[in-house]
Amino acid sequence: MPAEARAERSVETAWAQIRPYVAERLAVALDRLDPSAWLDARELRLRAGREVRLVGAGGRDRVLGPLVGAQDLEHCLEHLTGHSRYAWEEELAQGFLTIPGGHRVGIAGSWSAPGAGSRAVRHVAGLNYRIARAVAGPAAALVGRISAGDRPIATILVGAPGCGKTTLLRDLVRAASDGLYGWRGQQVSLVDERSEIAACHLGLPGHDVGARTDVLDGMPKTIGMRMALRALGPEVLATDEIGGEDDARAVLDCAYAGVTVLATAHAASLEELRHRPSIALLMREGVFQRQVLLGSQPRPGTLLRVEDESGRVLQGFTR
Amino acid sequence: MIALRIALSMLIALAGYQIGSLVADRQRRRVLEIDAWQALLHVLASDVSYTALPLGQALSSASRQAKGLVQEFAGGLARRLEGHVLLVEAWQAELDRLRPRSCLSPDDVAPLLELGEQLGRFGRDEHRGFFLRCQERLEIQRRQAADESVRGGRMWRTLGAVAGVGLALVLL
Repeated sequence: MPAEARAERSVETAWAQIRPYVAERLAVALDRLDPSAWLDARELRLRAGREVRLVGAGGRDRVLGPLVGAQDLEHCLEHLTGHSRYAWEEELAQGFLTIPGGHRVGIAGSWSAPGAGSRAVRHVAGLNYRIARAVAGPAAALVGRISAGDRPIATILVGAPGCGKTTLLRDLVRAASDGLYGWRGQQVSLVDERSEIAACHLGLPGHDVGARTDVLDGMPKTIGMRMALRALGPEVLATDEIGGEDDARAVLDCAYAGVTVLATAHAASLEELRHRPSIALLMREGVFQRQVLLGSQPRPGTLLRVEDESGRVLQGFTR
Repeated sequence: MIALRIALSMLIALAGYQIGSLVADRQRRRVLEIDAWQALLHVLASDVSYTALPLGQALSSASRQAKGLVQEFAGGLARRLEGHVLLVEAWQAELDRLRPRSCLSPDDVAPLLELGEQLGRFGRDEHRGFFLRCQERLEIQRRQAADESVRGGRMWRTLGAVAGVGLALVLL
């Protein structure tokens, strides 16, 4: 099945996957929505005292009928936690839950002060169902530029939020793991601190991240990278949103151990990225042999610029 | 004729005793049912407090160890929770379903209903407290039921027998 058709089908089933986690009153109202509306949908937003909103590509939102009540949101959270909020205390303390299909639900509201344990949600004021789009294929255009023979070289994907970094990283992980686009299959460790890449639910990946991939879900990056290095013997290690000094040092440990690191970072440009002290350290050490800048126009995942470790722009990717 | 009357009178007295025994037996079964509830709550409290097992799985697992109506409750509720339902409604519906066959008094059921309203919406520490309080209230009910079972059982059996003998004397 072509990648685009597969992506469309996954979005068509999005409502079926999300529905069990929406309060019955709202779900009945959303059942009446034209199924084609879900093809374009990126987010389903529920806010107390406001109408349901379905946000499409480019941030265009559509107001749907029913007003959301505080009780609706409590019911949604009950369904999201399987009637057992206590079983998801750590996830709730981070402000999100992942449901089957890889969809991530962000929570807004009031939280208890941190006691002996973690913070707990007391009142839910809003829920944002971010519809996961497991798009297969975006890595194909990039692989040729980040390869050394039949294996990837260390690469950092850079861009503003919503420009497709995580989607591209997920496809690169799958390609490295399954041996796609001319790469041979390799042992991959994926440190997925915020459950965004593999979208694990009850420990199982919600997205296809390849047959040779070990996922460390919910594990802090700095611990997870070193743990993977010691215990899982990765040839490729992938992680999302590196930024702090501890992250940089863990990446450095992996690079010194001969592991190829694939990572993402938030920045509007490659220059901005290099000005961060932690990333500057990695650049000085020449850890990332490729730096890829992504944009969201005309669509998320658009390659704007690819540079090598010396800052040389690789041909064909300058805009 | 007199022999027949005597036999009939004895039968009536025995029937009275049996009716008294039935009432007494209901008290005894009430104690056993409260025991079974306490055992279920103990297992659930452990699963929730120490392993944070989601309620559906905890109920399903606990139902394998539970007995009688309490086993039916745990299994039935676990199945209901697989659907798109709210816990408080499912909990009450399952209690309502079993109530005609249950020996529990309204005072016995009250802490269980309250527990159903509290579960699922708070953290582990709070749940430990909910289970503990419900068990304590059930323990009070159990003591009362056990006491009634001993005293009431004797009373009902005696009452039944006396009523039967009285009726027989009237007939003689």
